[in-house]
Amino acid sequence: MDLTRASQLPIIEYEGLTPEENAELNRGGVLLNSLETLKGWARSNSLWPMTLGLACCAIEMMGAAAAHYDLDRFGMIFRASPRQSDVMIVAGTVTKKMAPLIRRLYDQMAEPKWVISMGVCATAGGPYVRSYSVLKGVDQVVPVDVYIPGCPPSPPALIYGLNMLQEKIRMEARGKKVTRA
Amino acid sequence: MSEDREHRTPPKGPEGKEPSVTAAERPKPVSKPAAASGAAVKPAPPKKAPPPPDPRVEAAKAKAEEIRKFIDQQLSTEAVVETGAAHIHPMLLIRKEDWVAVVELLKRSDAYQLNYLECMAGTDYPNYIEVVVYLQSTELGHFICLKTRTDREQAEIPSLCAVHPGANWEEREIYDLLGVTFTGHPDLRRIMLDDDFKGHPLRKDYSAWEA
Amino acid sequence: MSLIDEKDQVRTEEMLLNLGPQHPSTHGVLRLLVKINGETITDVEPVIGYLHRGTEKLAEDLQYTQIIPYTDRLDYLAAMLNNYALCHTIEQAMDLEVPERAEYLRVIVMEMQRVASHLMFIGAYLLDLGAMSPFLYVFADREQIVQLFNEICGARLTYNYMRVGGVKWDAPPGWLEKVADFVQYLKQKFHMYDELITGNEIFLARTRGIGRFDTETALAYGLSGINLRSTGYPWDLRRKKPYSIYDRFDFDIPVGQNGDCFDRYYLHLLEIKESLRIVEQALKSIPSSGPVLGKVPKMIRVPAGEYYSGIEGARGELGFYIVSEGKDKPYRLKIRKPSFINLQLLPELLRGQSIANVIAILGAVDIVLGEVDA
Repeated sequence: MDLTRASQLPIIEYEGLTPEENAELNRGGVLLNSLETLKGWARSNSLWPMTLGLACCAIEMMGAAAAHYDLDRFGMIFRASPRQSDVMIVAGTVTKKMAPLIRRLYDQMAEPKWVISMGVCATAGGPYVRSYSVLKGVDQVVPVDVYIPGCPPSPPALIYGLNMLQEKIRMEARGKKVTRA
Repeated sequence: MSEDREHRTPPKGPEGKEPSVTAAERPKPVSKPAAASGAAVKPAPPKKAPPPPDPRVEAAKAKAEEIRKFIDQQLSTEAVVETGAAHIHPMLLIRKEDWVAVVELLKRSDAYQLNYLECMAGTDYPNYIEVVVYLQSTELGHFICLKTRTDREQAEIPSLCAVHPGANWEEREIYDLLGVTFTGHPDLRRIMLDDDFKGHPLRKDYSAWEA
Repeated sequence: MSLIDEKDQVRTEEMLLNLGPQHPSTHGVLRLLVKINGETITDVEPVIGYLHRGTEKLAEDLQYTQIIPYTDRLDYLAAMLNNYALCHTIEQAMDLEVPERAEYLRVIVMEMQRVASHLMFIGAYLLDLGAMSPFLYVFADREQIVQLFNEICGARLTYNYMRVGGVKWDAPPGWLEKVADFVQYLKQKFHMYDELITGNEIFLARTRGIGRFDTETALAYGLSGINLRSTGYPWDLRRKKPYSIYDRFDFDIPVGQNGDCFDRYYLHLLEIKESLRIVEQALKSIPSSGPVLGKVPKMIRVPAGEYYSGIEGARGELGFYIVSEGKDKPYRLKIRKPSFINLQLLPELLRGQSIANVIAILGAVDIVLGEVDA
């Protein structure tokens, strides 16, 4: 195995440390980073979504969790309780009757928490936008981090959306404000 | 308005394509034209039949008349207001007061045994609200349509729950969406919408903005 | 306060347990208010409507072709069957002839859809009862059906494949062969499911003799589909009121004996077998080419009048009642929702049962909330 490439990489020099200290860290193989970044890294790799399957999208969400697409690869295990989950995937049409309950479930989740709006129904009412009983977007009751278009979005689209959320969590941990993909 | 147009335009595109797809495929097989013409022969009799009345509709009307005679005999009132055909099924319009009695009679009678409530629907017409039930006899194979009408303002119809327990939720749904009160219903509450919802959305004059 | 009362008995009182609407085993957003006394259920009140989207009202404002996508989203596990139910009613009303090849394609996709839906039931039901692996197995198999549908119509779940007078797309080259391969594959898999689940002792203990009802009750409540057939009553609209080309195929109507949860599960499994038989026969006799969309007027106008026709959906009799004024939009469209009607019996079934059986009984009724609430 050719290790020359590794030896050519620049040696990380931390600011505010003397050269001796830097050399000592380097010799011991120690990496320093802010605790926030580390937390962001850990959080983004164990996002536990809540099973909030409301309508058709729920089937694709289950499909994403099942054998073929296997969300477990990303450290995501569906939890039935809002107290145990980090991310709420709003999968399906949100009706006016259901909206207060979604807000309550969101309030029951422990911080830090994120929301994904899956499918056009949850995003903006979708095909039911003219219905008398459908809420025109779940962002009217809870703050949404990632919107996934589609009716319903396929499991790969959901996985892509979840990856975007992971990216967002890591970026925000570094103190950057994420407003768009 | 603009929303309306958006919803209407898409089907035109794909639909315009369809004939060209079928036309492109038709010349390929040699045997197909014969089969296609064979298929075309079949619909001809029913298609030409309607100008002279459709035999299925005539049969349905005759059967409705037969059921009317039966009801007249058994209940001896003007329970049946009108007979006719709902597409190809016998249709009887029942007076509101005799609604439950007629349905029960047809369920218990040996001649009809209409024991299975297949579909129940309410419709809002300009001057009245109509409730329709389609009844099926699982043993004898009869399939008929019964109707009753009620005033729009004070919509009230006797409940069928005692005869067909399966009507329970259907009636609740009609109450919820059309505002028809079913007298004698064991548990008449809104079923689909919130209890504090105003108005009955399936009525033609319902507007989401006014409520 | 002491737990023991003066008569030296454990003091009990009624408790109200709220199940749902966010609960993994209620198959969506069903809410059950369960009154329990100790472990025994005294009363249940299902609260529905959390997914009421007003499809019937929306349909009054849409042209007939535009309603088809909305039917996809009723029973989203069996979208093809919903598509067909609406198209069938309109075709009946307009006396339209459907080309041979389209009829066969319809039957193939409908029966495949029934297989997919029943597979999903088996997976979800076993998951409700606490068995994880069948869920993973069925999703792997269902995924193959979904991929086949994706090839024929470009959608994985909401197909919008049928049109009034035929189907939208002809099968792509090689598709029918793929279906034939899949049928063979699933036939082998079928035995695996049978061995994996049916003989399992824990499963039997949880489902045998649970949630029983008889034919009379089922008919009085208007139940249909497997719920009715599990009581031993062979009521299948494919046989009783033949539609499409089902009279050309040789298949059986499996019926249960006891009307319990186990029968309902096992009928799902047996129906998969029968559906595969139908698909096999259809693949043999499908015309090799031909039009897939009949001669249909550009603007579909149903003649004035009222029409009702039902088909055997995956969950029971799925019917559409249309009142037309002769315009391009229905005056009123009512859906006869099998899940909605089947769910009515639930309080009767649960009364007197142990709390542990709630999910076992609810799961076997096999509801889809999109259809219950519409």
